[in-house]
Amino acid sequence: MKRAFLLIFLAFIPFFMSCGRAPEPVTSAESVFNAATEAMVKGDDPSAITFYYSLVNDYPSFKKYKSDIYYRLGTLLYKTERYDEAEKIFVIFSVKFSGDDRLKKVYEKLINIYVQEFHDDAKAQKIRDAYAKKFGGTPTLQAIDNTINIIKSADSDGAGLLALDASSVFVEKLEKSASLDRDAFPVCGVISDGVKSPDGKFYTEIKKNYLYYGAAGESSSRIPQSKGASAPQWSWDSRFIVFTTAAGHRGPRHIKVYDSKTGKTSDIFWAKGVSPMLAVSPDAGTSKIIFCYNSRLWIINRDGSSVSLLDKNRACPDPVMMAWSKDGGKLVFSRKNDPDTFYICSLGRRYVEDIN
Amino acid sequence: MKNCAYALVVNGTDGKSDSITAGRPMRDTFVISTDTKIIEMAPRIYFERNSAVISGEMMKKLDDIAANASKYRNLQVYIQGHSSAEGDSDFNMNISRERAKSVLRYLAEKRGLSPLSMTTAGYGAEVPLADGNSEGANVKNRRVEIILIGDKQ
Repeated sequence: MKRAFLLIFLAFIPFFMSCGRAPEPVTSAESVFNAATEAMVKGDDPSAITFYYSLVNDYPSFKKYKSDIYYRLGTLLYKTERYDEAEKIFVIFSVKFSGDDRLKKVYEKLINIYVQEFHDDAKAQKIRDAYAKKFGGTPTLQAIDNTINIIKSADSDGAGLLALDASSVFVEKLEKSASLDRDAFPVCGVISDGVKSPDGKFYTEIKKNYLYYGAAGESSSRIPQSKGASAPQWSWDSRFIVFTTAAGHRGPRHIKVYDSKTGKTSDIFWAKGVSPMLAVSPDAGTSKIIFCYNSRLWIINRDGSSVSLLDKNRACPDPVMMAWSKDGGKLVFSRKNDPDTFYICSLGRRYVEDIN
Repeated sequence: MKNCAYALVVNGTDGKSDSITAGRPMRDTFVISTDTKIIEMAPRIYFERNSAVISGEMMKKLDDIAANASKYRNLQVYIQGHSSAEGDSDFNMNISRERAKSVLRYLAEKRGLSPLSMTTAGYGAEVPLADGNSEGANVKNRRVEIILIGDKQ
């Protein structure tokens, strides 16, 4: 009997101990976090920022969702253009949560803050180095590089244009001319039979329907995926060979880029109605290629990342020659049935227009 | 509009407003009409896993989109390819670009679309429409989105 009373007493100990204790506070770290999430989902950014700041400052020992709190707070500050604060939070995030999947996005935002808002190249470079070390040269990083180049270049000159994504370049003006300044438009090593690279170190030739490549004076080897190659040409820095291939006259034609450094060929675009003649941009690495497709001029990034209509006119049926000017700002081509007329396109930057 | 930081604030006639910002996926297709312009996100084009081939069903959708596009003057077409997160990032980026190019070829060759400008971009799995790795989410994310911008006739 005594034992039964003892067991009942023990069972009620927690109840007796809780009597007289203050109730749980209504505002816990967890509830603040939930309120922050709810505000963010509703689009109430100022309230969400206040809640997340409260979690950072008032609940430093709240470890749960720590990385989420910093990431969301930084993102909201960035979104609301509070860049000074966003930078501080993102720097803390990058140190504390270096293994987090979202680090890549945090680095990207930091680079944008340093380049576009603080104009601090040194800090931007530091983050870019950390980014490249951790994630490699991703397309996103290349895009950021392009953005940096845009900012550094004057919009009016050709170099500025070549730093843009292909989709931002278009034909501003098209003029006809009976003469051509050959110095301004050097056609860069179009390979009809065999030709040396612009730096004279390498040699390329077409043999038995394939394209061959080798060091000047030595035997050449076949370039992969080059069967049926037409009018290949060197990039201005002697690294890339750009060419098209087609299985027959009616089939699709492929635009390909051979990288002599890696020995790899990339197939960057294919379609029926692509003409064999290409124009490669004069910048190092040949960032862009212009081609004729469905009788219209198109532009593509050398890595195939975007294809864009260059002109609004059906300007280029049967091009027999196409060349990019030395300064990158103009394109010239001539037509099969009108070989004595040169069509000179002035290239410009396409802006996103005001839609009102 | 790749590599372009932008924010489009839309004020509706019902008093509500919303914003479209870079990198934010649009959950629903939309049409925004101003006094002179129309911006429209066309119905999405979906693809099979690891494929950039347009199915018969999706070709019909593209035919409708092309027919609808004929009502615009000074038409600009932005074709944006996406992938699910199943492959590695290089593969995903590549397949998303190829999907956008497939749609471009279809609109240019089969439908003879002749806009003022047409641009493709690939985003890999960077802008998912549905979160997670379930098959349901992957099916939604293997897509091409087409934005049409034009003047009212």
